Amino acid sequence: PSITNVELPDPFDIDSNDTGNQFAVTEYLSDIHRMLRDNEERCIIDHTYMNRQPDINARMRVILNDWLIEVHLKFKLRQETLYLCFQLIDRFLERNTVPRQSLQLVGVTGLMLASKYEEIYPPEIRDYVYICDNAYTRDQILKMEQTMLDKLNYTLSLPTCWSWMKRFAKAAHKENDLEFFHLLSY
Amino acid sequence: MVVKCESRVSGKVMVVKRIKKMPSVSGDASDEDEAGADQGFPVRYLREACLLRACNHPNVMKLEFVTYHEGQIELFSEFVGLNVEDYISSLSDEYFTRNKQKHEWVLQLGRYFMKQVLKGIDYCHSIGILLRDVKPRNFLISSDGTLKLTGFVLARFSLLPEEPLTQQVVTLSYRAPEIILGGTYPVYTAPVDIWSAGCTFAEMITGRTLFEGDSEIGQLLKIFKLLGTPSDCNKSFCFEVPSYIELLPQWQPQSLSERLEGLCDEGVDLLSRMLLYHPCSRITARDALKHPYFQGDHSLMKT
Repeated sequence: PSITNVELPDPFDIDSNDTGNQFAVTEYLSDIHRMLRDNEERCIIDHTYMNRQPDINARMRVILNDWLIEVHLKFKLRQETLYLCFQLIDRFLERNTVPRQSLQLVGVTGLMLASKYEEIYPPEIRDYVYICDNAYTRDQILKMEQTMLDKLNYTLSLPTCWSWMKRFAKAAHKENDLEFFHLLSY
Repeated sequence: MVVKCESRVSGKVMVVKRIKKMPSVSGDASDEDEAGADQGFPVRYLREACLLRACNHPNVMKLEFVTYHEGQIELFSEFVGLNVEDYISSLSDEYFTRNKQKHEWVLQLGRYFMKQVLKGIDYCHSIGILLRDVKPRNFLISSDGTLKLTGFVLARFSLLPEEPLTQQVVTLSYRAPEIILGGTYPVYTAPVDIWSAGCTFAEMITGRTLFEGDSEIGQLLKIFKLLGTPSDCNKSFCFEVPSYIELLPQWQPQSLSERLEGLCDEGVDLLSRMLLYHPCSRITARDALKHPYFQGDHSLMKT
């Protein structure tokens, strides 16, 4: 579902309280969020894409995502990384047919790209090889990285669920409410 | 390696940046298999490529496309020959002292370029990109006098950095004090680019680097020597600063207009707002563009 056409009314000016907060960059916030809204359309994923995949199905995707959440936890990565990773995988699967045995490869490579983009210290390739229990070789991962970057057209800066979650939590004045955030993340 | 090339299809002249992959730095030295092993697309260039692709502005260099085959990465972008650092070093001392007319010309060009520097930075900030490496070398000058911002290898997409970022950013001479003082994981955001832009501004006017330190502490001393040692550091920087700062000599602020000889009062005022210690009181790129220094018609006259 897109909210692209909904203009946030000004009474919901939730940023003005931040004036004077050096980290909030108040002046630019509305611009940044307008840009995110404009870009949102570009990352809407056709939810029926699984029907076009001959070898994989939605259940496998769920298993893959569960596994990625575990890996993400184990590597102690940032929240943004996980959501970007899911987005990259879905955008890739939407356009490209992937055989069953390569699904995990797509998943782990998506995580690698997301970590490289977001993290200060991204995990190394050997960590990914290890976490897949040597199911794929380092060369396979490298090759998949090339393919994915090419197919995604080097566009990794689209808004993810996480960008919106942070924004909405702020609008609800719950940004410091950890319980609320956990519920939202769920 | 950077090569100039011409497209056979469009006849467009482009610049190709061919990236040689560096062995991994973080690799564990005891593990011989991994040390120096191929880590795929290097993180810095991945960010540079993705962020440049996200930009679309006359003052930001346009990245046409990226190729990645057989481990060889090439970034194709529009061709721009000269950068601001070359321009600055092409100005000999004579420009600044002996020849009044030429000096006037340098001041005009400085204003003309500075406006574009700020426009480029304003654009990047408005789409949430923190540049973290603003310096003369990263501004290219195209043949029609348009400035193009480049050098995105240290940039990152960072809306609200509630999480700390790395300290290893920004070339030392252009590094803002909050990064130097922030410890291993400082929290900083857009104002660091403005500080760097201020240093670039001064350099375009005087032909010399404003603060040229040889180490982090040396850099800090250079800054305090010109702008004065803050009397209450925690207040000036709005965060806990390391205690060694108490031991530094107490300098009084020097006159910026003396240092930037010939620059009009508005220019000096703008620069002083760009070089404020407190990141929050530092002027933003957008406000800087509205500053009186840029008011009126300053288009370059043909000579």
